[in-house]
Amino acid sequence: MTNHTTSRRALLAAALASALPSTSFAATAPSPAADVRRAPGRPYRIYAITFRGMTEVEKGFEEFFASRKIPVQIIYRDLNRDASRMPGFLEEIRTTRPDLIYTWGTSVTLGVLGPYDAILPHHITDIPVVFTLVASPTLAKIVPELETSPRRNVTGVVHVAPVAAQIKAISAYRPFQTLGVLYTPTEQNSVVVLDEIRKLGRANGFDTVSRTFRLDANRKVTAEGAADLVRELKEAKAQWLYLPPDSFLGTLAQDVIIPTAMEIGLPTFASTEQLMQAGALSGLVSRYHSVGQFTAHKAEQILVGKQSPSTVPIETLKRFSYQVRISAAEKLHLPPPLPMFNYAEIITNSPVAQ
Amino acid sequence: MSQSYLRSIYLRLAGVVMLVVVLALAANAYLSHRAFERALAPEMAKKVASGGASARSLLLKAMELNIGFRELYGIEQTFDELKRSIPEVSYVAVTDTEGTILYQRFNAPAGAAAHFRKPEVLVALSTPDQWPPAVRVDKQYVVSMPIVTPQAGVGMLHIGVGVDFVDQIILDMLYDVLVVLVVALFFTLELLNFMAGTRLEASLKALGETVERGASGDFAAARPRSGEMAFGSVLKLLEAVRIRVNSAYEALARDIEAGRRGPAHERPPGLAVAHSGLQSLATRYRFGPAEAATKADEGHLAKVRAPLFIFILAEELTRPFLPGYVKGLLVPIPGISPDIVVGLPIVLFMLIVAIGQPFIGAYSERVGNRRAMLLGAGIAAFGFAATAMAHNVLDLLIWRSLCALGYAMVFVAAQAHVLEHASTANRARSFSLFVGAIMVATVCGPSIGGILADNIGERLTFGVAAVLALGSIGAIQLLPGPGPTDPNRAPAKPPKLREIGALLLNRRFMTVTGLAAMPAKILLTGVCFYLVPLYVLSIGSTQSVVGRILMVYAVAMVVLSPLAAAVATTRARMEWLVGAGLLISGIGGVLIFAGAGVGWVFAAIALVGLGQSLSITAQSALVREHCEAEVARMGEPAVYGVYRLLERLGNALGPLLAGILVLMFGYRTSFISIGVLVLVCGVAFIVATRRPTSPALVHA
Repeated sequence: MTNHTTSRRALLAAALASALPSTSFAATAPSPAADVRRAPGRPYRIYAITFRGMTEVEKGFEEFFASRKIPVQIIYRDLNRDASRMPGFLEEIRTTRPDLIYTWGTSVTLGVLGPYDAILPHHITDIPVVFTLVASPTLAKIVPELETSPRRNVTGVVHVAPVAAQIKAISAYRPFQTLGVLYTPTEQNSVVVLDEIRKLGRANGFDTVSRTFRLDANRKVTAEGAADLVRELKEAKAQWLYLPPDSFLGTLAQDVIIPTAMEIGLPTFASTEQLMQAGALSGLVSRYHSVGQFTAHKAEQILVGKQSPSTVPIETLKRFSYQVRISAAEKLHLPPPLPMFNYAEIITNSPVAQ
Repeated sequence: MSQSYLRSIYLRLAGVVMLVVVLALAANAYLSHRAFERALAPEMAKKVASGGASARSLLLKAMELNIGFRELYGIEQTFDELKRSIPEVSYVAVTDTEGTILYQRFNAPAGAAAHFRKPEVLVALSTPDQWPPAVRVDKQYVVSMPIVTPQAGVGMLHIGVGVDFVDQIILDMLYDVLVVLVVALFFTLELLNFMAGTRLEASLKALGETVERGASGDFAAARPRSGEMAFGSVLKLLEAVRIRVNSAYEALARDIEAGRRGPAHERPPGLAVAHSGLQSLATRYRFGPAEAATKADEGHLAKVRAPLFIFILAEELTRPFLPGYVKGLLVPIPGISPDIVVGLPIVLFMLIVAIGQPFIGAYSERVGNRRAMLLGAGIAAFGFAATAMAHNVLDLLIWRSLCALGYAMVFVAAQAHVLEHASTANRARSFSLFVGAIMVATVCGPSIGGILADNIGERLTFGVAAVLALGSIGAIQLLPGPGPTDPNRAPAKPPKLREIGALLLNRRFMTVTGLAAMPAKILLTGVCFYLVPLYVLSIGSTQSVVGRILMVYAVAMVVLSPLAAAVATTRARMEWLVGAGLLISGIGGVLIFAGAGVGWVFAAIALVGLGQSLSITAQSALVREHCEAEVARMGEPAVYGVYRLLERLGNALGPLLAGILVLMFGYRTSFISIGVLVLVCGVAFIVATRRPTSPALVHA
């Protein structure tokens, strides 16, 4: 389907610190004189809320400030997938009034800000928020459109690569005729990604087969029969199983979906590093560490550069990492194409618990 | 007669020499092929091995990750990449430790499978970091590299290169030699003109004069001749005869005079008859001392040719590589795309030459042509030297402006020098001398410049240009100082805005200028000076090739434009020549539509050269034909001043337009667009100049 060289260029990996335009921001060095909210020498105070404990993202976030010698004091709070903790955090934010709030993932970000069309009094509107690891800020209603301005008191980093680039990345590994997609029908994000894949399929001449997770009597999504869905996709002639940035899928990937796919010889392609770590064969992902650095860069523009969050663009990284899990390749008898060793990041460790 | 005689002898001689040299080259190429092959094969093997090493490291990486040697996937893509980086590669194969082929791509030489199994090939498996030199297998040289992991040997990578790569190299060398030959030919012609030409010409002229005077009965003493001349002895002999006749006449006259001075009775009989005979002799022939020389020495004229040639050569050297050089010095300029910036130095150069020319003319008149030329050459030499050391595109613009100023000064002053030393009678010939020097420089410059840039680099070639410009200073110093000013000649002056305005609105003037002259120049600078150098490099060719292509243009101009000029005798013919020239050169641009290779660029530029050679002379002559009324009203210099100004603005527009087109559509479409523009102008020109067949059809 795709020309090898173009796909290779599009995918070139290693989205490490070099991908960040940090050097070009030397001009916006800290200028204490212009800082009215911060006493001289006092570090910037950042209130960080994580979703499931510390990840590589926070490491990259902290490292960026250290390497730029920007004094920051980060107060970490973990939601631990428990939304009931959120009101306490919001209360603490109101009393401590940090300089900036860091939010990990869609749920946390919405918990702090609320959807743009349903902001309630307890939501934070007067302190800059920088989100990270949000697949689609528009679908999540964090912002109505990426380009509109003025935006709310928010900016951040999107971690999912453009769908077209992901499709190219799949066919660079092995060309395919039929792509299988498993997703949650109630997650708007996944529905949109699927639409885009179908559109690309019509343009580039491949078929898309899809299955949705079942809903229980309360129309709540359930893990029941998930393994069967994977088998159904295989029977429908899917040559790849695409794993979209779907939250529910994420919770089942490591224990049910990927093992089933491996069992029936269906290669899997991950859209996020989390899904990759769950054991997928390959993926075009943003490295969490780089995402953290890029998020910190956006925070720097607000804290040090004194920019309003609404003027700092919401972006993905410029480069993504092409990851290949060599143990899966071996098991599936699908070695990566030889030229891929030039640019792919070979993952040799076994899947890690999320 | 002497000039053309000399030329025809020279050209015949050059033709024979050229033929002999080309035959010798071909024979040499044929005979030395094997030797070349043996000498070049190890070099090629090295190049192939370095490419092969990266393919091999990929294979080893796959082995390291426990991928089975027989389960490799996408190895063909790796082979394709290898061929992309080394186009000479004609076969790639991977075998196991037994020599059995597991993977292969492209064309295998006969006997490859057997060769791979030979023990002397497989023995390399025991020396993982060394491999035997390339071995000739049928029509390929094959490099065999062992693939050995830290644990064991797994197989071998074989890369074959067709022996015809040698042909390509030899062909390339032949082209270069041919280019040098053509350049040498023109160079020699130039030298011949400079050294022997004036002297031989003067000798022939003296001989002719002597014979002619003898034949017409002019026995007056000859003017003393300076220096030694060719045919000196013949001339002396003839002169001696004339002197004898002259002195015999004088002796006779003296005798008769002495006889007549005596008393009448002592006068010899018949004296009166002798006297009357003497008087009738004096009326029929001329005797006595010579008259003073009347004509100016034509040598002064010829002397300007050498410095002009050397100087223009300096600028022409830079044509094939200037855009590429600029590209290497690019710095972001806010608001202007890099494609446009690359053309800016050429645009600025042409603009300075166009606008500066009238003012420099006035300056040159004030300080003297020789001084203006010296100053101009000095400025340009500095400009070239500084260009060679340019830091980035911004300071380069300054240095190129200096070169432009110097160029305009030398050009204008040399032109004025020719006019100053030419009589009305030989003005046209003097002018062809001036144009000839420039044309020959355009043949020699780009080709040599391309070869130099490829071999010693762009910066050093600019250094060579600086040295040439300095060298021209030496030659300029040999020129005579200001001659007596011709009171009849109007002082040079820039065209007045009123004149420009009036002519811009004049349909007949603009038909020639706007539809023919300006598009022709846009095509020249936009395509030849901007697009060709950048495009040819972009498709992986060299600056030598750019030089060769530009030489094709110049040779077409040099060879064909005198022929076209000879045909352009009537207005109708001139119009046809211009129209046809525009169409042909436009087709040249459009030709790139047919193919993207270097061959097509060659063909395109040959057509552009052909087209321009047809129209260039007729075009400027047509201005006089079309604008008789304006010439009568404003004077020819004013009309031509505006014409040249607009033509040169076309020079400046070319790279700008080409840059914008490249930015929007890429190289090939730019060629085609400019070609179409010229085609459209050509059609419009033909329509505009087509006279109604019957005046009755014209509606009042």
